[in-house]
Amino acid sequence: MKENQQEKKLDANLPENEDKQKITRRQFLSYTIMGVSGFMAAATVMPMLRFAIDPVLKASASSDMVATGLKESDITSEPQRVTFKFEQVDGWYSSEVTQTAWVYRDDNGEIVALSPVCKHLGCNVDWNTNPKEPNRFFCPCHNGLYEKDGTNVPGTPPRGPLDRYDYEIKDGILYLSMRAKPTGGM
Amino acid sequence: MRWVQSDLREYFASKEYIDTALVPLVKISFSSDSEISGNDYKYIQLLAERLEQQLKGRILLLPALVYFNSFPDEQIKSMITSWKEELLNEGFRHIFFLSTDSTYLNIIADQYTELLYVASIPLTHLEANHLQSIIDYQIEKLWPQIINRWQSKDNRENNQII
Repeated sequence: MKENQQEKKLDANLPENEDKQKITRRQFLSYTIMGVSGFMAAATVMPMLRFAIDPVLKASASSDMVATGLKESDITSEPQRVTFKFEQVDGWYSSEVTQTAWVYRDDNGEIVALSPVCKHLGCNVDWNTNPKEPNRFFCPCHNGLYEKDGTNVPGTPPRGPLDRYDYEIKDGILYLSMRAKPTGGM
Repeated sequence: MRWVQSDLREYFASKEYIDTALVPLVKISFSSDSEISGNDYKYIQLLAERLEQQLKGRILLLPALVYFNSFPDEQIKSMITSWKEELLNEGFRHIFFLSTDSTYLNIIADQYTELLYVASIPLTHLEANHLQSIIDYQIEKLWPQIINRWQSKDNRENNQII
């Protein structure tokens, strides 16, 4: 073969390489091509794999949870006002949203996080501010009343119970969902 | 409720509950104190939005009533008076003007109307969280003025019914 002869000639010209492992030009080229095409294949296949298994990798809903700065141990049976903030992006406009929640532990030791937004026309309710109605949530706008568990008191304007936030405890800190969810009723 | 389409639809649907108008009263000045007037405008706007947010169900926040500091006093007074009349004709039972200027207190305050006066604060160098706590502090002080007025009126009506 002509090529082999040429390679032999080349080797003959470089006698100092003789005892080292020899790589022919052909081998070198094929290794290089294999390497490069391996990278190229990986570049196309990996993102596809990533998309395929994406639902598995997604942290379970916790990306929608926001830290409140309230320690789990500080939650008592008395509702306390908790504010928390997060960035909200609408198109190119990013704004900071501040949410408020009333947080307490109910009789079974379960944490309850209620939205302060009155189900009547959207005022903010307060805990225990009406002296005539102790231990109830009171809406100053139209004298709406809610029990401690958020149930609306019949005969007052609201027609549904207060919304609730989802919560989770991570490292002893209370995390709440960005939005409160209706608990039914109406 | 704010002066935007979605809120206004709700306002007209439940008009009987929304008996309070909140009007920011803003002075425009092009003279040496124009920076102050810009600062005060921002402050009033922030307060008004926060109040509206908390008392959404009973308050309609109107666009601001704006006057130039070069207007003659009589003209400003008549503007305020005609706003009051117009709003009362629309069925509002309470009108609150929100301002850093107490010059027109006498023309504003009456049986239906109250001036929510706040002292002007320079906001320029405040960090966001400080600004927020100042706003909340001020709101806490304004809150009783509004609630008391509502309660005294509600009580009056309840007594009449009894």
